[in-house]
Amino acid sequence: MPPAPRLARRPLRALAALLAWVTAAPALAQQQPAPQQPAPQQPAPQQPAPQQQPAQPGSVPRGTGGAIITPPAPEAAPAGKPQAPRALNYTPPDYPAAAEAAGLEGAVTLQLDIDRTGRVTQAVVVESAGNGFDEAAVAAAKRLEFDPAKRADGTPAAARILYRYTFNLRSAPPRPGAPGARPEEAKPAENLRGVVLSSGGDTPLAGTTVTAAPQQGGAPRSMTTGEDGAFRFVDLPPGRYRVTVAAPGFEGLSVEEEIAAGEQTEVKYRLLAEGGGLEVTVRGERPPREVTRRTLERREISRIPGTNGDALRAIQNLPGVARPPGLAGLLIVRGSAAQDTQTFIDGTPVPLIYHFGGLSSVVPTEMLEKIDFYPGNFSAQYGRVMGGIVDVGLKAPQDDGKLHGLAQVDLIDARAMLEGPIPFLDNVRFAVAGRRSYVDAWLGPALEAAGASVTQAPVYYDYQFLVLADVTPAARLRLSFFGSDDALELLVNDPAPNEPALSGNLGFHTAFKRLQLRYDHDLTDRDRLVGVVALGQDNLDFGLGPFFFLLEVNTLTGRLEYSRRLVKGATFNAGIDVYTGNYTVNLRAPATPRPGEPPNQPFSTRTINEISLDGSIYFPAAYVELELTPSARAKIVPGVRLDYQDVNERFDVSPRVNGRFDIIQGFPRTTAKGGIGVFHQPPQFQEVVPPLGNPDLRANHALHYALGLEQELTRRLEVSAEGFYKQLDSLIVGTPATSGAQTDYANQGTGTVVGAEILLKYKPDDRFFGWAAYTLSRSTRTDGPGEEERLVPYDQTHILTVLGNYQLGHGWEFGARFRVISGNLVTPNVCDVNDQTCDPGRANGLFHAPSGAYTPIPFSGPNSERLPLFHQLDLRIDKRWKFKAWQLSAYLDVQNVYNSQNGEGIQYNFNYTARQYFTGLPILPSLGLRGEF
Amino acid sequence: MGHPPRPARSPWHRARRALLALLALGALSPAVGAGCAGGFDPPSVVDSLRVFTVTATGDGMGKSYANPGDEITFKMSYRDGYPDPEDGPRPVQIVWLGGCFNPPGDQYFSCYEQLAESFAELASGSPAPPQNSCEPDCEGPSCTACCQLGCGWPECPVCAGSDQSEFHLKLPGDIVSSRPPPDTGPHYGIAYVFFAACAGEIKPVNDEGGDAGAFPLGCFNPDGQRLGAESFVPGYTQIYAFEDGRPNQNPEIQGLTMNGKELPEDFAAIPTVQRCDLSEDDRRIRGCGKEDPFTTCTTYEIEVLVDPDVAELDLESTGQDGQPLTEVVWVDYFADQGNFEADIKLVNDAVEGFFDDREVKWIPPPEPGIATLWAVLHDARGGASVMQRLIRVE
Repeated sequence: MPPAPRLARRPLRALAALLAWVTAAPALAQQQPAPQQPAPQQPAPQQPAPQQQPAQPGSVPRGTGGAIITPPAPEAAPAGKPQAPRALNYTPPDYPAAAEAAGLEGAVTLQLDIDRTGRVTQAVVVESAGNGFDEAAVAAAKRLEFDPAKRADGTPAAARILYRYTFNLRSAPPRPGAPGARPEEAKPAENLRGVVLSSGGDTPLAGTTVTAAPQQGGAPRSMTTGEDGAFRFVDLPPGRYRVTVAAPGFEGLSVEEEIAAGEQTEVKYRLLAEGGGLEVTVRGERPPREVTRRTLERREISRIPGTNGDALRAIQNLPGVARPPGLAGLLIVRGSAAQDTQTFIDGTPVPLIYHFGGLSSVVPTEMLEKIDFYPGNFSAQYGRVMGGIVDVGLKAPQDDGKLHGLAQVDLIDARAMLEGPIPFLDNVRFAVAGRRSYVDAWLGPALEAAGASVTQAPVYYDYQFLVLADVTPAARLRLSFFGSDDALELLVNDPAPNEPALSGNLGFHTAFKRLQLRYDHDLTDRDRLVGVVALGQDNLDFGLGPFFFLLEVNTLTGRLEYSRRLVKGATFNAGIDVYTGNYTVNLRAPATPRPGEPPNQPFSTRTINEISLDGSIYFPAAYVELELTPSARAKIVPGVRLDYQDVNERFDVSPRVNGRFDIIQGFPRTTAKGGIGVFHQPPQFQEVVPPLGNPDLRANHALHYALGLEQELTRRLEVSAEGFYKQLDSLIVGTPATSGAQTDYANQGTGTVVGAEILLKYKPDDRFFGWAAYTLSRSTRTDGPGEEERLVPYDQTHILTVLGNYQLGHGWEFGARFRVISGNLVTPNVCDVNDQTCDPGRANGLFHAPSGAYTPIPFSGPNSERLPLFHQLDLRIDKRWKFKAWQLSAYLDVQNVYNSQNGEGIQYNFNYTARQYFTGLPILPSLGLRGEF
Repeated sequence: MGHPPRPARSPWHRARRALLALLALGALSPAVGAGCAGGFDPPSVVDSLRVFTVTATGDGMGKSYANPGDEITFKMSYRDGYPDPEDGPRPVQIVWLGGCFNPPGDQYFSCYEQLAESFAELASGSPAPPQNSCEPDCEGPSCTACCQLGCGWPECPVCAGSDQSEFHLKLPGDIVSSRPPPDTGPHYGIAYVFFAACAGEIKPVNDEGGDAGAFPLGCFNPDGQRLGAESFVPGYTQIYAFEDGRPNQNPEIQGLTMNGKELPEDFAAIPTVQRCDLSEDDRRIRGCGKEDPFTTCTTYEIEVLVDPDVAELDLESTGQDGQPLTEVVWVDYFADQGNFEADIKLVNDAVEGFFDDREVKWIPPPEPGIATLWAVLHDARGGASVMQRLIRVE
């Protein structure tokens, strides 16, 4: 009797994958071949497959049966991108004898903890196969060695990954002539299979063409990936193949594979998006502590029409952000005032986010690592505001040992950047960037043509210098110097109507600079320390004829946060947040009318009020936070913050809690989220510092509530909806003093903001990205007890933004943005003649004889009329030319394509008998050119 | 003196200017839009019923600051520039309403509550009893009504002076002492006087209003139709009284000059100027970013003559050098024919002092006739004076 077929101890399938990567995404295209064990002479249980091997496009090490896996040299992570750990060896587990004897197969999924040295410190079975497979897999995994995960700046970091061993049996080849034996080629076999993913998101790329061309000659065979990005080649003849992977919008990949007879090779290819070598992403090392953190990817930011590729301007397209009026560079978040939202650069507060007129932001996109935007319910690490937070992270310089740079010009400004290693200093890199507007070159003559004498047309510039040193593999030190400057000066020859004293120079200058030192240190696998300290100077100078306001604030700000993972599922964060400085104010301005001075006379003819003040401010704060993960589905983050303000000698306690829960895990994920928190915002300078203000003021107080849902619809499409409610108390309200020339400030205001946000987002794929954002909100204030509730001026009931960008191919891209937004609110002095209730005979103004001017008689209450609906279409087209060592791109960004005459306000004639809208931007094209290497 | 016309621009210059104007509009439209929008007459154009000022005098001196118990005469300067010349000037009814002292918050609209009864009585045709006495200035059987409502009402057929444009008011003796002294600043009282000029008939109305309410009087033609601002000027003035008795004189106009020559008061001696064929619409239609074509016409420099010491010292304010500041003084120009290139000029700055440059350019009208020019000099403490001069246009 012929012997029964014996089980062969040989690899049948190599399957090892990074199923999930919680901290970072792979950086470069790489494949994951399936090295297999040498086939034994006798049938035997097969060995499971090893983990992937690092690879580079065009030079992909791989293993086949009998091949020795040679760990390649560690590959440098591109700057600005974290990198997953990569296996340096393969340790096959023993096939459990009992299982082999019983003919059992199985797959074991392990959760591996890999420390910063690449050692596996713990292997936990998360998907058991039993029958001895688990023990074998764990034993083998503990012998694995990895190139550790790296952060965006290249420093090693501990990581946790999922790793799967698959145990398969395959019949031994029957001996020739044996019963039942059949030719090997008669059995169809998938001998090359795999999946194509996009780099940076592990998103399967459907529609990708994978071609395997035999190098020994013969017809190539092609496959197209399905929706899951998978492909399978069946019955490829043994031999060496050139495999090319092509997907529109992504860099092509060409690798060499060897197909051995009777073996199956499984691979994983990752493709880089074209032009996506520099990404600005919000990619947390942990799930967010906040209810809502909006993420914009670089490709999205730079292609949104109407923003000139400006990352921070792109924020204005997100849900919850109102449209600022005209050219005002303001961020109005969830019904809060513009000053209620604070901007940080790497944790250091800065007074501005946009240059003059909101034309561009104070940090160019090229220098951005990330943008965190919190529209509300933000973590206890942030304070002193009750609106939203924008935290901008500066990008670490590239560390590939080469110099990189770019230059860009458009109609508004020109910018340049250079980054790379510092010679003779190991592990030290630099980046330097600058931008200057040349609006003055054309706006000055334009203003003169319009009748103004221009002393200095609007000019802005900003600059960033950055040196980063990897002090140790676990510690990073960064020194930055950045700033911004805006200036405008006009000579007003003739006084404005009804303002006889307003002539002469009109000047406006605002600037800030920061010298910042930041230190990040992973003390241990459980402990992390992040500190940032900055010296800064802010200047705000305004002059108009004989009047001026000169403010200089020298600041010292600092943050220090210590994080410790207490136990599995519990991380503790504690930090301090200090803002201190001294100020100098010189003011010469018309005062509030004193007794004996009629209040209605021209502003410029009021009594001169001259004030020179200096002093200091000290705002320390401390916070603690717990990040609790009671299960894989849930996360809850309670925290509390304690603030002190020395100007009014008050403490404020702000407890907050946020949480998320995955109702459905995996795809399609459904997550519920919510939060509640207390927020305090100290009084502004002029409100609290004597003699202008009231030192007894308390901080403004807000209570934020948020509740929302995130739902994946497809792999690309996700919808999130969130409702929010803000209860505002102790709001500081200024009212004319009953006597004297001052304004009385008191904590007597209240308010509410209620609304909902919906974001339907199509994540970037090879050709398209886009989203539709809708916000419904209502923001009201009551200025004091007994006062009527009123809407705030920027209350915009409906905000709808729809935008998209499509890659046409051959380097062409086309994008469009359309916005429909409720008009801002105004207090009408003259009724709208189009309103049937308008009485044209109504007395809209009273002649004030002492001043000769008219006092308007508001037609109705404050902010009772809404300007017409705002709507605007912006288009953008990009073209990119790629050369061997550099690339050139050009774009045309046209704002307000159909020249919509959107009303931004109402102006009246001298006696308030007539009115008309003044309109915002007309059609405004901007042409830009950019080269980079 | 007129300017010669500029040479014609090349197409390149025109295109460049248009582009620059477009760019400027795009960048600064909210800021400069008002200047380019057009459609609004400047305040200096007198083509409707206009009130230029109301001066307060008493005892031969300015009384914008008065003393408790002072008797004050208010004199309104007005002109109806609206009527068709063939019909002649329309009759103008003027009413005055005084008796509001120290309203809550010193706000004029708080007087509506104080005067509600008077307004109500006005609506019913029988004025409320006066809240203060006008004797001995008031004459006739309804002197109290005169004080409350002013002249021109059936209840007040005869007023002191018999001139509707004048109103007399006696401040209460306790206008200051009746209110508590403020925490800071001087102890003072305030009086409000309302007035309305109507080229028709004044009647009570009940308009919609916001926090400041609405003025309770309207102007109607004989058919009962409500007239607009071209025929109706409501307004108010205010008088302060200080415990320390500080005064404030009305700034005085010494004369009005045209191209350096003083304009005479005598009609027989008024100067003659050439008309400018360009109408205002012709000028406005040129649009933004272009030169005003009036430079092709002969224009005239109008200047108010003012004593360099016109501004009184503001003893409560000092500059950074410790020296006391002066009150701000400015002049508004008006014309019922032609128009001004700029119609307001600063005469005295609180810090810089007196300004020599007070000239404004006047462009004559396209039609011949007699043009009336006014200059109204204001100080920042409620003092004012007015001067009117005529110019023949041919």
